[in-house]
Amino acid sequence: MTAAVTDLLINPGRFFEQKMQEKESLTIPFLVVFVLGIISAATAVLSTAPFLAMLPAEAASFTPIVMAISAGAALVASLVMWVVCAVIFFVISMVFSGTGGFKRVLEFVGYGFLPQIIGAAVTLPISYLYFADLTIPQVSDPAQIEEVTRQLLAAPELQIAVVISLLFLIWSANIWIFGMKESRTLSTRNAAITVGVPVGLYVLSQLSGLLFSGGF
Amino acid sequence: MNYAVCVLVCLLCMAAVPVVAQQTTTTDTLDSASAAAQVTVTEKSIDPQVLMRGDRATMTVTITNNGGVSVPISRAFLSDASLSIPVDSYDSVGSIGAGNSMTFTFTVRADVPDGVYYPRFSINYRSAPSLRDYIPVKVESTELDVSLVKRPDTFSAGNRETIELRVGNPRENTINGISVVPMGEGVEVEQSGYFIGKLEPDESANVSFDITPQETGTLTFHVTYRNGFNTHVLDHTLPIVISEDKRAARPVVSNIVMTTSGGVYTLSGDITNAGLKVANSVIITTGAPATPVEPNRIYVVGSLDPDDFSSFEVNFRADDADSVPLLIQYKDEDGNSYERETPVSINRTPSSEEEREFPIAIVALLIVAAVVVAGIIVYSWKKKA
Repeated sequence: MTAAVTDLLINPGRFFEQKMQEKESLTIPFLVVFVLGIISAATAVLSTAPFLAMLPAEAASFTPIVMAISAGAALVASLVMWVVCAVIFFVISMVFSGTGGFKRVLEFVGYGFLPQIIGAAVTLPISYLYFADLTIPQVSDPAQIEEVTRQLLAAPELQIAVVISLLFLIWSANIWIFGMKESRTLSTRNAAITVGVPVGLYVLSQLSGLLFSGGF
Repeated sequence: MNYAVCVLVCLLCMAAVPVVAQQTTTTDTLDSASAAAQVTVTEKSIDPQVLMRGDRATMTVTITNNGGVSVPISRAFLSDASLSIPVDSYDSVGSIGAGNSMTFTFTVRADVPDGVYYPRFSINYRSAPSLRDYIPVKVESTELDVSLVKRPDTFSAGNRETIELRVGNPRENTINGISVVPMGEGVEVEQSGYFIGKLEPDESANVSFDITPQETGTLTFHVTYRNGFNTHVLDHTLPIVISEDKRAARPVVSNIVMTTSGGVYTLSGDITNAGLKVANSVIITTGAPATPVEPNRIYVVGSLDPDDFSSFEVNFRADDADSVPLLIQYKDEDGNSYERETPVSINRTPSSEEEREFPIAIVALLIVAAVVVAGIIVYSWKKKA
């Protein structure tokens, strides 16, 4: 098991070659994405709690509900992202006349989320330390809430956490290239294009968002 | 013959008539002089008793015939070389009967320096020497005395103060109809005027006015009074110079600590009343370019006695501002509002600088993560090759 995880992380080519010999199974990929969703939910709760403190006292009773919704949304978002990534890769690979079923693609994309669990585990303490030491002023004006939120999210700690997340996403993309190559029988170049284009666009959009928000 | 006798008788009669007539006239003259001697001045008065220069007075002279026969009077008049007497003569008096009195009234005007004057009152009889009497008229121009007995050390704009005047009568006679009316630009006076009325000699009366000056100027008190039927006006001016009240409340902020979180600054400190009067309804907030935000847009301290202090805390946002004004608003005992402004620097507070510290440890973690991820990716591709 440990060897398999190690192969997935640092030698994904060999890992997926072995997996191609096995029957398609979504159990482990689902667990990977689910764990990622749990950590994302924890991060969402941590980052939502201070902002809820800005709400007026009469809205305080909604705090647990809002936190539960945000945690659930983060968990569901992870699962949705898994499927969305698989669909995008599958569709792009069709351009390169890729062969292989969608379930296999979904399985390998799920495995590829493993580095992001590590990334989420790294950024979670950063978020915790930042938000735990934060004093949020109580505001009632929605415009003020938006402004305060914008300024809080522009903190260097959170900006660096986003960059770290992008690094682990790139690590995931590296794994996905090998996964798409095996699952859709693509050349290395075509697999790199299939994965690199959408992931690259996403990374660029995130970095530009950081730049325009004044984080760097 | 008869004719000659008649002529002789007529000549004798004609010679006798002058002798008889002369004897009758002498007797009548002696009777008139003795009768006129019974006429005397029994009363003389002047109103007002003491004139000021330029005043007019009414002089009344009463004569009485104490004799038993009527005395014919040809003329009564008043004369003086200094005083002005517009109508100085009664030319058709007639006779004053036995035991009767007769009053003569004259108006005199004192366009003369201060002093005592003696106009002469004369009665001319038809067949007797004149009667003369001198009536003293005192002219003394001392005016009412107006003095300020209470006023503040300094005047502040919009600050209500009380001014107290004392009006005294240093004259020998009574003064009537005294009123005081304040007038001045840039000064609001609650009372439109004050009527004192009559002041006996050496009496005084106090009057108070509540004034609220708005700007530097002069407040004039018009004191109007009557001496007899002569109206006089006396102005007493009070310069109003707006300056800082030496005893006023003086809120001072100290021990300022500023922290920031999420762009919202929290400014806390102490406010002390370093003045000598109470500062009421003390309110603290921040002014432009700062924007006050919840929970403490405004901090209400309340009343601060002299040397008393209180803590405060305000919240605000200030984008791209190096300093913000801390506004302290308060009122004095009369309800006048004041505002003091204390600039507070944003960049120099330690808490703010700590917030600006770049997270070096997290950057190091980022670098490590980048190296690890890059290494793993490179390694995975080498393995593949």
